[in-house]
Amino acid sequence: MDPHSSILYEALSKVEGYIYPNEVSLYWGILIVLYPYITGLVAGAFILASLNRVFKVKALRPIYEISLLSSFSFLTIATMPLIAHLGQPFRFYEMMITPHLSSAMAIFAFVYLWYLMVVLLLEIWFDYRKDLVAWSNEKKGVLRIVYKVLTLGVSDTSQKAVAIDEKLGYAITVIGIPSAFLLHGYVGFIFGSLKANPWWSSVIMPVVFLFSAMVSGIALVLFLYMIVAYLRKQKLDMDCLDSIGKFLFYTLILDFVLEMLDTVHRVYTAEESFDILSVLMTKLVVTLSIGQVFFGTLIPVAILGYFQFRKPEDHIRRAAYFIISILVLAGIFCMRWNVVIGGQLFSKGFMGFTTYKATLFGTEGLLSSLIIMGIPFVIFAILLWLLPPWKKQDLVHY
Amino acid sequence: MPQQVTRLILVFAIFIGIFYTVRSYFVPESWGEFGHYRGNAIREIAALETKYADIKTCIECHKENAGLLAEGEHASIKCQTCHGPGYKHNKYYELQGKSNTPDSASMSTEITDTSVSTENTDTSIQKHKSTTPEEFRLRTPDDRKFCLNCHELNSGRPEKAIKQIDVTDHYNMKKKCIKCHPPHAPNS
Repeated sequence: MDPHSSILYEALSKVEGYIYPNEVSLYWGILIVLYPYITGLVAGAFILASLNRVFKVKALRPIYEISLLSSFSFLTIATMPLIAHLGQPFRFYEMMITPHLSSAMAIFAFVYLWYLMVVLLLEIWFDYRKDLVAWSNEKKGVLRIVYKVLTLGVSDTSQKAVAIDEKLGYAITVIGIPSAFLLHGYVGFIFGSLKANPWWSSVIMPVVFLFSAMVSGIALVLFLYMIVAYLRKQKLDMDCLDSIGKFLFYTLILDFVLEMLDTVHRVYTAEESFDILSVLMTKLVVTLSIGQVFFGTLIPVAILGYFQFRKPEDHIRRAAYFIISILVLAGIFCMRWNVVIGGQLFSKGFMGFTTYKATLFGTEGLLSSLIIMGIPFVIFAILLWLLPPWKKQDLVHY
Repeated sequence: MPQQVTRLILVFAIFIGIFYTVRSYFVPESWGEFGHYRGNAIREIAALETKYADIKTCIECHKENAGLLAEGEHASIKCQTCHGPGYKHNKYYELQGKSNTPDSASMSTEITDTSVSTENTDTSIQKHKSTTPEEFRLRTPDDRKFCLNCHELNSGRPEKAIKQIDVTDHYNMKKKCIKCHPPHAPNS
């Protein structure tokens, strides 16, 4: 068989029914699954932090810094999957220096910079400023210089100055909540506004993305809080864990209800794409029915729901929360997978399907995705070492 | 104004200053000249070597075949689809003068005149081809495989628009399609 024919036959073995030639291989692979997943974790973790700061949920005080630092760690690498996905990754900066206001995708640079520079960095800085000044006086050598630089040369820790920090930090958190909504609502908008794709095209998409972001962010902070406490051999604050569990329960229900509303709407209106989408759902059975719905939503909702009425022993609840955090994180990853990959598996002629198999190596492979997902955890560990919440002067917890 | 606020404003001002400095260095000079792209990109593309001849230049010399093509079922197919981009070929004859073109003996033939037989055209083409240096020759594919690129039975291909044959039962596998179906007038 000549080389051209062998490529054709290989491609044909991956498709079913009738499909256009440009739909055989997917344009957006696992890296683009990571992109909404990571931005979701950022937005969700920040919103959890704001519950303590703005909405005065005192029980969540122990995880305030962990929420902020984990949100920041993930935000620093949020653009990495996008850059790795570019055909010309070394020209990524061109998007930043020649922004295009009429392109929804190019707007991400603005949304990203706003969230990074104006919201997260400032909030962390105001929160830690007093401690940075103290550490810059206590420490020696390179660390002393690092802390000095981080104080930006402001060494005033008088009551008046700290009160100003508090006020400004509060104001930034207030601005941060709509900004977090903007960050992840924007990601949902990117998919929801693609009117040629019935699996994505939905006005409810930004809202669904937002709630799923909150779910995943809360689960991430729950997971990290338990891991950090375990590594530091510290006792977990059960009030805090129960509060996180309660908020996770509420957001999970809201997220699930919104997704069901979308599904019911699709079933009732039964537009011309309904048949192909029904078949698509049977193809996504592992990631949709089992991963996202059963393990990622129903089991956590059932367990968390039970905890709202009955409180088993602490060690049982701790184990359950840990397992739930992993299940929810995996479930939301499945949700992103179903959206990004699922939306490209069917033909836009509604007559056929293609398949997707992630490769192990290469910039778009499984390995590079795992590396990208691993980096924020390393950044988080470095940040905890540099800015340990348990060494803050005004903290009684930990 | 509190010291931390003035310091932050200063840091942000430095950051914005660095950004604009970097920007002025990295943004290409001709950026935005015509739109959201490098103006020089247009000039660079315009300076590329031309490969594709305009179909009107083909007709200038190949009136007979162009006439047959215009009347036949392949009317919607451009010369370049089968014969290649053709710019080099065209340029060669522009410099040579048009004395050795297949239509040179009958330059007055109108495009719509389809009375010229395929056989005559084939002979003049052969002569034309043999006197053209290889580098400037046009592609003249005549094998079954080339025709079957479009005409092999394929359920995804619209039958009404493109006639299709099942190669396993259509006539003699060894015989060339063009023996019975002249490509410039396949329905003749």
